[in-house]
Amino acid sequence: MRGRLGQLGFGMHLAVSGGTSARLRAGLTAVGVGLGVMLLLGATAVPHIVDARSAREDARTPVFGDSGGNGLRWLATDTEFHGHEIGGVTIQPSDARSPRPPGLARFPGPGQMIVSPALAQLLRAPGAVELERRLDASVIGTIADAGLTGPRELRFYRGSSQLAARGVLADVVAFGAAHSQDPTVPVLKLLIVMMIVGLLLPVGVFVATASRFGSEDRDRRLAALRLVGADRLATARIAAGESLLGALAGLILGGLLFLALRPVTGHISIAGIDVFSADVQPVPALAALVVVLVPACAVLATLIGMRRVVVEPLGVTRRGEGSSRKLAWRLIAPVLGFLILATFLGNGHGVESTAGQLESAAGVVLVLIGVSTLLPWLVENVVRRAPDGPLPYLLAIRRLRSDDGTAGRVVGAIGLAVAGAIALQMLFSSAQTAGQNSLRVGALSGITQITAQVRSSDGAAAAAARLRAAAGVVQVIAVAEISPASGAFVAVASCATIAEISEAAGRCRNGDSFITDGASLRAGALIKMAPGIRARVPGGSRELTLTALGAELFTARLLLTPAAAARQHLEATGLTALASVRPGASGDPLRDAAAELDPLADVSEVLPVVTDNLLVTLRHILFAGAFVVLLTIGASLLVSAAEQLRERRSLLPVLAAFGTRRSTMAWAMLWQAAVPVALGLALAIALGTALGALLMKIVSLPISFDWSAIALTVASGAAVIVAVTAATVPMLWRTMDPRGLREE
Amino acid sequence: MNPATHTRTQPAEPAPVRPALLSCRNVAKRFGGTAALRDASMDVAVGEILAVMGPSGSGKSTLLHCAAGILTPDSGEVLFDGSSIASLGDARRSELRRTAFGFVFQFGRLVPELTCVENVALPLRLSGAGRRDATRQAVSWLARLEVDDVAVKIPGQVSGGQAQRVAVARALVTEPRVVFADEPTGALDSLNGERVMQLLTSSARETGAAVVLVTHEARVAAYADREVVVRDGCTPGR
Repeated sequence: MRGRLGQLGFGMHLAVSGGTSARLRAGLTAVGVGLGVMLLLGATAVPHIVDARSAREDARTPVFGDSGGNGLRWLATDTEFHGHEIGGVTIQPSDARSPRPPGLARFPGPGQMIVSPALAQLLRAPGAVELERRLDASVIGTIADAGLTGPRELRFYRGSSQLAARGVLADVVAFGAAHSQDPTVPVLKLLIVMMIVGLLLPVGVFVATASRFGSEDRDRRLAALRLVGADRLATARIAAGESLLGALAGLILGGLLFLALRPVTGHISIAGIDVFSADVQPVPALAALVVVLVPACAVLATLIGMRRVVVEPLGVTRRGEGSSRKLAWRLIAPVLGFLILATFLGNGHGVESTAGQLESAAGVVLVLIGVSTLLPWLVENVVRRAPDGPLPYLLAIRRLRSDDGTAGRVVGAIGLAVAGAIALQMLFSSAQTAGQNSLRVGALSGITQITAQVRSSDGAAAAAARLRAAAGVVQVIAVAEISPASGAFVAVASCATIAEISEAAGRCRNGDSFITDGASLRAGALIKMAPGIRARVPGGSRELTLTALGAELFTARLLLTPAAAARQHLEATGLTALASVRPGASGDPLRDAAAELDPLADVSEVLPVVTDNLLVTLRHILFAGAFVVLLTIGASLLVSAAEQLRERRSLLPVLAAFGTRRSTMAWAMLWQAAVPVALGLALAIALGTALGALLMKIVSLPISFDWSAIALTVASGAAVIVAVTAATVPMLWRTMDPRGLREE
Repeated sequence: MNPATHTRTQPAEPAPVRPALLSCRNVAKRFGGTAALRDASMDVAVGEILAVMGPSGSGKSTLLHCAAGILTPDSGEVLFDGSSIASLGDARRSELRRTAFGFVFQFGRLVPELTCVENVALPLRLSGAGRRDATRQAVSWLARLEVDDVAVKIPGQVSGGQAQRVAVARALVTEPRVVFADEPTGALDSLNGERVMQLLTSSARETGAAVVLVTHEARVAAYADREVVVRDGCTPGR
């Protein structure tokens, strides 16, 4: 035992004392492993980030109830400016005992507001005058971190004295909802599992690639050790020791990088996701796993890499020829994965239980791992049978043939990520389509709904005209409402508007009236609107069927034309309007106009897609993760290419000496990267679409192929290859410098 | 006779004076603070075999690299066919090396993943020859150098002597005007070294190629028509 540890220690000693090459190798391994560790530690912090975010959201959720006279009046007044969503609430405390939202040191008075630091910054930016005018309140302070979900969140609390007059009840009695139940449905659970697998496995591949950097020099050193009497096991342990030093240094480096970059996380926002630095805390158990597994993974990668190398006292030989890869065991993972997932067919809710989740996760993981296991076999077999072609292509193909599978392994990470992303995109796309169909609001694309307070029926007409006059607005359908807060739903609309929102209104003249809810309203019935205000359902009122659009957005049960309303001396107090903005035009002028009419106007976009927050958040996380994965894979490829150039540093100057063009070698590098990547992407598309289709079938979603997303994902993978090749070219040209002949 | 430079002549028939195909005039080259060449000159005539001799570190390989356009001298000039090589751009010098020069290095330096015949065909394909034509010529050269039996093997599967003969075939396949050989037998035993030198020099004479042969072995230099000795970066007596 002591001897074995001594050999490990000797390997670590060699990594330091084995000359510049060994130190460079240890250094690069440390850098590579360090980057991987940093990413993994970041990943281990994700559960805490998600929990902290939802805890912050929960803590500021208002609890409504019987306030006993000291509640808080609460009106959501979200807005949007230059594409930034701004969460806003207008509040009016009953007295000093009213519950205060977290993050507020005091209540803003009427005409004052307390804003998040990010909103304060936005308001100070040039060109934010319109937003300032729209919010119509002076900033008196900032919301503390406790009241925000992220440091870049745009949010404000505005004080008002008008909420009581508008009928907003003082019924917020406290803040802090009970921890929200896990709202994830089967499809979302599958999405989460896939994302974690898709994001973490490439990091593992990167760690393995980095830990094998400079293996050729190491092998030569081991041959020298064999010559002086080290046996095979001893050389393996010495090699493991060499890798271990780099991995341990990488572990420390990764930890330091994580700690150094943690404060920066508060300043960046990827795909709309921002987190407080304080929330980026690794889960201790997972972090411990990283500390143990990363060095183990690095050592394992070294030993696996040495399987094809025979270190003999007189030199090193590679078992490249004759030991072709076997397909059978490589099929085990994907086939098993598909079989496991197939057991959920017709039983989508089976994935809801813990056991079901684990089982489905295992199925997805196995299928995705299948991309990594099958790709080296595919690359080897295709390359072996590939015909000869132009010189750069020939050099690339021959290099790939003599390769020990590095290309397949590195590209396997891309394949895995792409397959995962394709399956995810299909699920997202299908989930959104299904949601869209269930809402039946496809016709409402690009429409904004405005609800504002007006003083009179004439005021309502003037308000509609003001909205129509806003820049970019092409159409406004407006309905004036009588005492909307009463819930009586009596509205005033012109015949033209009634024609827009109803099906077959027939002949309509000013003075007519219509009932949209024949079941509960009868002609002659008296409707109590508010104290002292009553409306009678006029005799001769006709029944009217609203269009889907009308029914979705206008809640009036009795529709009066202006003359009919005037006969009963009914004055409008509210306005609900639907406005279409010209495609491509900004919605800001419309929002500004609405704010001018009523600072508390509710302006919201009617979206044609499902706005399930969790789905949207997951998609954002996916994009953020995909970005990190692409960087990781690019780094793996770059390390691999650099390693290859280093191995060929004595050959390339010779090729240059007898006149090989640089472009020939650059094309050879591109071919060398492109062939395995093309095969990897083809395999990823095949397995990814199959996996996506199976998952959609399991969760009873319609099977659809999102070809544009597939094309985008494939293009991203290809872009990484081109970028890596471009980054390698300067290194290639330096290595090709014929002056390198001198070093021999 | 000058101790640094001497010309070996055929005893019965003195070598005729031939015009220089390649000339190095007062070439100097430094690498950082080290002067590898200080004042080196040499001429190589058409079809001549010239041995560049000297102890290790004397600058003979640097002189060969300058003469071949691989390195640009700091001062002095290198003329090939009367034109200065140093003034040519990288692309033109690469083309010159591809078409007019051939190279043999100490360890063969074959592309490990290509077969021997593909290695020999490589310079032809770099010059734009078709695959079939390049292969045909490569096979013919392998036969001339008596290694056609290893044509479809990769370098890792052949002996050092065979690999070096393949490298000689690769240097001669384009029928260059000058072959630069840097310690071509340095990694071979004497028997294989002799055979490689016999084949290199006889093939070069057949094609009329001049050979610049860098060596520190008198046995190898004996194959040359003439010797130039480099010492401390100079070619004294030139």
